[in-house]
Amino acid sequence: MSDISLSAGIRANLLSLQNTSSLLSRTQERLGSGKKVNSAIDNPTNYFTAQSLTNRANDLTARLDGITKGIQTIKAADNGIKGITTFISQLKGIANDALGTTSTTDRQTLASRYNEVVNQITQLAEDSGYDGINLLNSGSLVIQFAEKAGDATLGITGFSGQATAGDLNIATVGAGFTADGAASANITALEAAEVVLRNKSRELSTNLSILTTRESFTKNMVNTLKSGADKLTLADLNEEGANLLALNTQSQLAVQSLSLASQAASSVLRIIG
Amino acid sequence: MEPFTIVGLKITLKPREKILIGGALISNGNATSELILENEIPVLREKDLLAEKDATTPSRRVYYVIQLMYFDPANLREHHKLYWDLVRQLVQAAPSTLGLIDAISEEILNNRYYQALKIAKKLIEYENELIQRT
Repeated sequence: MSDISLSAGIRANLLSLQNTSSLLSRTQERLGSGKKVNSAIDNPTNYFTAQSLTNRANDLTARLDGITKGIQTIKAADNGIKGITTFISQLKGIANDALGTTSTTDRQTLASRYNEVVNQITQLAEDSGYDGINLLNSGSLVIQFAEKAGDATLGITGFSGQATAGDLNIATVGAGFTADGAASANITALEAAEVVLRNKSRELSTNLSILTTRESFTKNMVNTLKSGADKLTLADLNEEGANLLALNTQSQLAVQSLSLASQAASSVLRIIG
Repeated sequence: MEPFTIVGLKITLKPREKILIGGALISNGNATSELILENEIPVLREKDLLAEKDATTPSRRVYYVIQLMYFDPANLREHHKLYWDLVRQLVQAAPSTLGLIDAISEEILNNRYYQALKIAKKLIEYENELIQRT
């Protein structure tokens, strides 16, 4: 076998290539043998193949749909609550008007107007659903967060927003707001109903916040997978190391952001410096 | 997303080991101790705590932000934003980290911050190996 002389540059490249291919073959051998891998550099390939990447993105997108639906359902309920609150204000106005007049005819007119609005409340409650689920009609919603069914979920229970039969206890009035006492009693009941609605609204608001945070996070997961997928097959490990070092030195912005975040954070993290 | 840990978590502390439980940094005495955490509160051993001044590489910064999510849930949205900014940069620089990143993100989504940190530690080790190759 005759000797081949290489220039220094070519020799360096050749060595580099040899290193890369020996690393690759070591990785493949380890994966093939099913032996436990000791080097962290072997682990990432265990997490992903191009195939499971697609499945993963689809799974996340499906979960995202569930979360988005939950958000729409809550928003529909919240709109219903706002509408009902307006109706209750109207009812208070009418009841006060009844207290302010002794005319039987007037009171009868006011009574029938009152009862109309009471019916409108029930109507609105029944129309506050989204895609078949109505949180104002005792509907409820369970949103699946995690991969495995039964893991992290969020349950949202509705209530009954119908005026008379439901949790609001707003009764229709007799023929003519006949006694002062009746009108006053109604006003008390209306104010109690307002309190119920405020509490429900607050509950829904908390759930909405949880869901929008998750929606945003999940969307970012999907986007990261999609944009990362293309580059995955071309991954050049040598280049990556260099890129990471470059990222270090260019990272003024990241360091500042981190610092700001720590300051905003509760004092507990100052303990760890 | 409310933070939670496994209820009834048993913690064994070596002599003079330190641990951060909620807002309390606790040092163990001279004998091994066993504690049980009865309610849901963030917990991390001192050896697993990364200080801000030590968050000097992309993957260490990711680890640090997860700690922020864990111990400072009140500012979760800000921490999430920072997380994704860091992750975007990291995956762009090193696409082969995508698998680890996704596994970490899944744990965060499920409020399993302790597990997320364990995988983030692997990310740091992976980054070390990548950098050593240069």
